[in-house]
Amino acid sequence: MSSRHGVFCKHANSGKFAPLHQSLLHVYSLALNSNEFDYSIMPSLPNYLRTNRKQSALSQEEVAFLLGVKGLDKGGKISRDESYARVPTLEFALAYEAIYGKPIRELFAGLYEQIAPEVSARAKILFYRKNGSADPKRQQILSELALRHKELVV
Amino acid sequence: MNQTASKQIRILAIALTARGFGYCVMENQVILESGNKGVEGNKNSQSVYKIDKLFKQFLPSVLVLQDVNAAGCRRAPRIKTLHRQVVELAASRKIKVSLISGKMLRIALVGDVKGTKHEMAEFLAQKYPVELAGKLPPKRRPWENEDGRMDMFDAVGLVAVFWMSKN
Repeated sequence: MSSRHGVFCKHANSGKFAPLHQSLLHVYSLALNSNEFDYSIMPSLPNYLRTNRKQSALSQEEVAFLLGVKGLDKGGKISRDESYARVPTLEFALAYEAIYGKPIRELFAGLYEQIAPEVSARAKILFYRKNGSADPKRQQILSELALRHKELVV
Repeated sequence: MNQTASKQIRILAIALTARGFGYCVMENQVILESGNKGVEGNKNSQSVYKIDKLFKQFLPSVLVLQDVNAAGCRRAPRIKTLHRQVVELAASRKIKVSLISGKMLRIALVGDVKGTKHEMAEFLAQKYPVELAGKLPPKRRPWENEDGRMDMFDAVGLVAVFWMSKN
């Protein structure tokens, strides 16, 4: 039986056993032999609201109450925030910061990592844009801003 | 303005069981999420579908599974097939796969090959009290079935041992 499952796989839809394609076998062996982990760095998740809520032992309904969500399906709105289905408004984001005691950019780490390099890229454009004002302070701020979030780019 | 350490190593551990699977997502030794999913009908295709959803949601860099082909490991043929399907799914998403045998799990968590799952769960509940202490099931009596929450502890055990072995 074990040899059967070593070479054959059960088809997901039909439920019948079919020979595993050679290329898939190759993929399987490749995946399993990846012992030398280079720890490919992944970008942060869009938000960490769910993790923080669970650590605070609060329910979605309770968080909705704390946020001042009105209407029916209060917990559903929190669920949509946590599952990245929508980005909360600034008021809600600040309320999340107040509830969990963490800065917005930690709560919405993925979003921050996405936005910060874009700002840096625009700062670089602004730095090189000739607009007549060669204020050294402005140039210094722009150059720092252009370099600040360079390392965030994955 | 100081810069946060933004880039993370995220690990997803999945413990495949007869009911469905338990899962645990850990990022730099912090449990982001843990739980278990039940499946009905075509269990393997349902499990693969739900695991794929977890991949999309958490974007893990490493997937940790129990080594179902290890010596002395007796798992149902369906679980072995599902294991293979999950590995293929991970490979298609360029997620690295690490396998941990049950023997290694017991030695690392309890220090004894004959350690029980409940002892492992107790150890993990002490290690991660905020996340797990409230979910520790009572000790199973011989005439009882295994508690559904134990699947989640299996997954947490896998990810904890993975961290131990890499550090």
